[in-house]
Amino acid sequence: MKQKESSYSWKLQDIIFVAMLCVVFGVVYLAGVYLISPLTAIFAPLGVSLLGTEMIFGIWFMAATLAAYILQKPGAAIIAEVLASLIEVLLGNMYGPMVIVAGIVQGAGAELVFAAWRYKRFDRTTMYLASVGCTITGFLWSFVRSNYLAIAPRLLVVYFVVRLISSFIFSGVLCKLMGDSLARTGLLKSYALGRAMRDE
Amino acid sequence: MRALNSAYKLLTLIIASLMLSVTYNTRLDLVVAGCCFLVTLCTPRVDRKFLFISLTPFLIAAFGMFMTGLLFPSQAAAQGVETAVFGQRVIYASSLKSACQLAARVLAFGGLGMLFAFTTEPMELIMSLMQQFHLPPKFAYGILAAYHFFPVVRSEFGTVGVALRVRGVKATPFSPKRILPMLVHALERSQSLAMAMESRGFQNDAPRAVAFRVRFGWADIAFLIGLPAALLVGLWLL
Repeated sequence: MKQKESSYSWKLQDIIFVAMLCVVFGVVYLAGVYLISPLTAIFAPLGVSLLGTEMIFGIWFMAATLAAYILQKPGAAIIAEVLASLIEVLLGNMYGPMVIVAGIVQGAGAELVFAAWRYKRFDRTTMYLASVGCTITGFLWSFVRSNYLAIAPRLLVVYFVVRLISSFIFSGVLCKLMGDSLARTGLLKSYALGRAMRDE
Repeated sequence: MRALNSAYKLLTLIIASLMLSVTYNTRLDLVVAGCCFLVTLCTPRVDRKFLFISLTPFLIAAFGMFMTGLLFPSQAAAQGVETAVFGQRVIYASSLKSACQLAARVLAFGGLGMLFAFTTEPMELIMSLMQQFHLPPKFAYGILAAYHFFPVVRSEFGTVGVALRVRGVKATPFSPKRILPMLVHALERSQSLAMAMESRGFQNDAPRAVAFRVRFGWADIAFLIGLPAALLVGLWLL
């Protein structure tokens, strides 16, 4: 809450924009769930039911990394992820309370990476690392929450790698690509990413 | 359940979920899931048909976790009495136990989430987050504004897909070609919404009158203390 008084304060427009991003990715995630549901039906009796969900898990982190990339201010990643989970709950996600906790934990993973460079570097490296960061904190939380101790380590490794790849593609590569093309349209003039693009 | 303050209800259920997260008690998980379902069922004005439909994803998820626990037990869980199930695969009695544990966990979280989702209005939740938890008004109204665009964004997702197909562009649901136009719309919309709100006098720090006051009372405190206490008693008894 401290950064609000400083020059890093959030304008109403920033908030609505980030919330809109969350809504867009919420819709994309829903589309992913529909696509993946036949796979889940096949995977469930085989004992690897989560594999389908893990494949599209990266979409969860897209709001966090893209918001941080565009706004480039402290707290952007974690606030975006919490907003995303709150909107998810408003839309009637049935895992309500757990979604909020997951949002905080996952957002923190990306936030830590950007904080490690003191919010000075928002490029390919930090974006990719942030996508890895979300995966690690998110997976640790899944581990505790769902009692993964009872599951064979080799399956957990598979789950983790699948989630890592998904996160890397969606929230790392795709978000970097889309942030850059959005900046090229010239619409981001009032945001840090748009300014950085213009200065180059 | 409906009379409770939404934000405190969310806080209570988060605390309860966290308590369940760090403990592993299959029976308690099942009792929690059962109680949550019953309370939701008995709450007035709950769409019961929809409630039963919503159970399906939980049951599928729980079944999936059950099979995971059964077929891929960890080393620690796989020691115990051998029993041959399904004629061919060797299943350990204790991996059956951990399979039940994994499935019960899913159901318990599902129950707590369902209890919240079916008894809470989105508007009320945001208002109580603002009034009781000091969420800044710009966040509260910003979130509500974006939230109300969900149906628009959803239909837009279909429209963009069709528009691309008409032009012969192949785009999967996750293609940047498909998401980028939506992001552009999101950006433009957020700009015009913010401008519209501010031009009508929306100010974050200005004192504001509230037409929709969310109540907070003893029942909320009782629930906040009572549910975690009940879980502790459950942990001790079950």
